[in-house]
Amino acid sequence: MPIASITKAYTAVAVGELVAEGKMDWDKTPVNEYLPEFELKDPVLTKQLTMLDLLSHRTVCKPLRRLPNIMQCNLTPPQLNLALILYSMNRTCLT
Amino acid sequence: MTMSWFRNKTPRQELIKRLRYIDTPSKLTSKTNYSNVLYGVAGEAAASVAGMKYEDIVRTKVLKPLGLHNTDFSPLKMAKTPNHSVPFTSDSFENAIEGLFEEGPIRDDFDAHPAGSSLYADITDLVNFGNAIMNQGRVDGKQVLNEETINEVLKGHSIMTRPKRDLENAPVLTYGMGWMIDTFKGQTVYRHSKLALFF
Repeated sequence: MPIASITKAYTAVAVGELVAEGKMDWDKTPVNEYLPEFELKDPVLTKQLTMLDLLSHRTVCKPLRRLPNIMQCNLTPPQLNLALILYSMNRTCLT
Repeated sequence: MTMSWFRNKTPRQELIKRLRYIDTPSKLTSKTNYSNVLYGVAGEAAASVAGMKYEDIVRTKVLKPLGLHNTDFSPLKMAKTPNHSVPFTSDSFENAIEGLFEEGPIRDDFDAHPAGSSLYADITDLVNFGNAIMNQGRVDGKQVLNEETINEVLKGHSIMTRPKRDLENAPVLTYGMGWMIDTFKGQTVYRHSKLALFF
């Protein structure tokens, strides 16, 4: 079965093994040093973000200004399913 | 960019390059702001350091050492195992209420950022992974995963609030790394939610 977001636990452990090998660290080196092509709009934030910030979801997202009333859109269950995911995310970025 | 990772064939490196154009607030927070995309970035950072694909890091550092032979990134590989799950859907609410669902095909699905969402596993493997984590990385008394790693991923690093108060759960839980650290009737619970369409 798809374990979907439970994958994140495997990713964190895999990164942790690299930390244990001394190839990375959780909270000292900016991610940008490991992966120079990763930049956010704010260069200061780019230089601050660590692996721990990414893996524990510590960045900020802007909420949407207005949410559509999807329950009135007469969607089929599969469409509604997807719409509800988007709706529940309630973010404009990075989700 | 909100769901840019979802069923997107754009190369993950290209999606990461686009992040610089998104208008994000310029601060870090103690509150959990769930992001699949940034898990993708973490996966690629690890790949860059290790000199191998993200998927191969998970295979060599986690799946193989733990003997999780029925866990991998391919839905088609999953479909070849004898007791795999299959997706179901219904074409109307009326049919869904009546219990009329149709079995859907297992597609060669893909997420642009596999680090946040793309593993497939059977129940035995999932339980064995959970047991290894709860036993500080030990399997049959042998230390397989790094103990400090397990301690670190199970520490609360950001704060999640429960939208509704109830008597059984504490009003606040925390997010570690890939784990939610929760309470239920006074007991600590390490858990994670998942959402997979039609499964």
